[in-house]
Amino acid sequence: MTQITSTEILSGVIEIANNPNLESIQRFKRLMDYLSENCSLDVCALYSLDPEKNILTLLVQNEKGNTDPGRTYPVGAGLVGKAALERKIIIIDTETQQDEKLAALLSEHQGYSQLAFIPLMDDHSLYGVLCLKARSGKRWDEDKVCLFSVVAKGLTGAIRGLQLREEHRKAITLSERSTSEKETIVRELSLLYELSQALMTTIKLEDLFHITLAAVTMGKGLGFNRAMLFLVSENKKLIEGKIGVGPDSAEEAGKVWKELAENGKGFLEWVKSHRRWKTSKVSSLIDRTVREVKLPLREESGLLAEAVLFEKTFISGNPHQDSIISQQIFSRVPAAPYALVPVCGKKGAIGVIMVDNLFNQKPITEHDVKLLTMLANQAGLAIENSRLYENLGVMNEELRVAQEKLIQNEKFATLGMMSSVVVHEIKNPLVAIGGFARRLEKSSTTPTEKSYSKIIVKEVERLEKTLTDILIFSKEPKFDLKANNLNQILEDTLTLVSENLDDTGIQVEKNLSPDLPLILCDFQQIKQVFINLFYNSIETMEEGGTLTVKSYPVREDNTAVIEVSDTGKGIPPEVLNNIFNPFFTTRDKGVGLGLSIVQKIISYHRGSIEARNNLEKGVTFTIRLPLHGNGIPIGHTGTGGGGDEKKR
Amino acid sequence: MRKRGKRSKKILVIDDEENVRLLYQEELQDEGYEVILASNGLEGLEKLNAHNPDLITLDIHMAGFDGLDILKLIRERSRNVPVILCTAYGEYKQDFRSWSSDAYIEKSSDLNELLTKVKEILK
Repeated sequence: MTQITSTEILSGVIEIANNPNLESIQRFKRLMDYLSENCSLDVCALYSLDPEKNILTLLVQNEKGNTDPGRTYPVGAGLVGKAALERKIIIIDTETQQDEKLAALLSEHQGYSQLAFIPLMDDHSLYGVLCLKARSGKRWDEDKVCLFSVVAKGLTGAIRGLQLREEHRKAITLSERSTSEKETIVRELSLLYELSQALMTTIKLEDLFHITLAAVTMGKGLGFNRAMLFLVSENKKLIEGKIGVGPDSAEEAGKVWKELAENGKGFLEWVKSHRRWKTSKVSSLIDRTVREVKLPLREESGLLAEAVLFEKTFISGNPHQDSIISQQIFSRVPAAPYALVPVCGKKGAIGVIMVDNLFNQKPITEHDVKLLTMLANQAGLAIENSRLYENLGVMNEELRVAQEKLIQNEKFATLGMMSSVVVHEIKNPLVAIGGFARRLEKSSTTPTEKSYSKIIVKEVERLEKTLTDILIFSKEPKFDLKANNLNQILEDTLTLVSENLDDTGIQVEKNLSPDLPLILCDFQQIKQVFINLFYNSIETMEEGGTLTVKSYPVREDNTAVIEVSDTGKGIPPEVLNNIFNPFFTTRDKGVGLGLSIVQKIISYHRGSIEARNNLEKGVTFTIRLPLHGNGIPIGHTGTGGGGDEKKR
Repeated sequence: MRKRGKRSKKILVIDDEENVRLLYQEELQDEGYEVILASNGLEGLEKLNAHNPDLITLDIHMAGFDGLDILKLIRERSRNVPVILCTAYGEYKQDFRSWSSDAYIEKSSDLNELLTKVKEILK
């Protein structure tokens, strides 16, 4: 190796230090190699100081140096640390040195004869230590030490620049990070704000579910791949899946996310403009899956129930640790990172939101869950309010029904009071008017007189019928249950109304089964039933027609069936359900109690009555009465049966 | 109008409604019965003693003594005369026997039921 002068060495150092083609660290590395080669040094190592930790760390060393990579010295420790602490150059010739204090520090530098530890510093700060070692050779003269000092000065400038740049880079990173963190916080806060606004746009539970889960899954929202909502049932015994939101496949997910990214709208705008759930009829796989979930609200039901019971949050990468989740939610798809967050109302958890990242398998962080929790709580309050509102609606409806019933009862009570007074005052004069009109009709000699008196008779009959209806309806009937022959009652009643039937030109067809057993019933009440049904038929067949009366037993059902059919106008289908309601009438005449009385009496006998329009014309009323409701033996066919009156 | 040749039986009609009394009188007379009228319960008891009728039609709702009070008084005097209770109401329908009456009818402008019962009892 040719000896080169100190000047040449310095110019070489300056050249390398200013080489723009080299990265800072490469420059230092090159410098260490250059120094070791040209100054006969075996080790050239540069330690840089971390001023915060006060530690010197090996930054670079020459290629051949064998100092431990990553070796550090706290300031004050070892000779490197000593030079930094004292801010003085330490030059040692190990062969001649006598200082005992240094002896201990030299142990790690065994094998080297010349050592130099030069602090790299300016007037204000220390930047590091340059460590130079030579195994053999003559003792370093002053010129050499001076050269090393000058080189160290140059290195100081360079290492200061490096540290400044590093600090600058850190500062930039720090500020960049805080900017993005701030942006995230702003984005999250505005999402929460927009969600609260969106939740206020509706009171409908189903809409609230959709909005909440949209906020959880949308790119503008939390961006989870899929979200599911489970709520505790009203009776607090079950936890039920309410809705699932998310694409069916990764392809669909990609499409949806792209669409949302291109859309560029805020969440609230999206909710207002894009209520897709209202038009979408095909539910997604996840929605169908979630809606099938119904679990007892017990600890044994797994994490979903636990999240509610203990208001606990779960984050997991492995869904198979919970059997319910793995068997139901992940039954048809691969496992994915997921999280559970309780949905809390004013008095604790009312449900749980589950999210997963099925398609991108992105791990779910604590931060994600924190935000999800805030969102879930907001949704919880909205859902609770909606439920209260719904309950209020139900209560209002119940109140309305109760009020209507009260009015109806009031009507009946008034009717009852009125009837006893009015009936007496009206009925007696009616009996006299009608009775004498009948006498007139019989004795009249001219057709005009006859027809006029007939009109009086008929009108009085109608009034009497109305009075009877009111009387029957307004009083709780007493029943005199006896074994009666229904056919007998039918015959009796037909005889009673025979005159009216003849007058209207109505034919009667009877088909009464002789096999009909005796029925336990009140003769008078059942007679009233037939009277009302027959009058009903007569009134609907003003122009004549056929009244068909059938009776037969149905042994399988243990019932006696009586059918009364007419060929009249029929009942408009829209009012068919109302005809048994009190005071309901489609006719100009009457108060609308006839069929209501019929139903009342039949239901007292534990029977049933239904009305249906015939295919061709008219209506058929079908009455079913139990055959042996009170121990009347089946098959006992009554022949001379009849009611109490007949027995007299 | 009167049907002759029938053995004339006496019927006492107790009713506070004058026109109803008249109607019953005419109809029953047409059927060949002798009819005695009373416009209230006490008059009815007097006529019962004086005429010893074969049958009584008794209105229940009357001012003063009502028909059921009168019926009680009749039975207390060990009178076995048949009584048909007549009313504009339907409430005693089930109980008429416990009142020791022989029949019960709801008043109607159609007197067929009444006449049938009278005939049945007096046959």
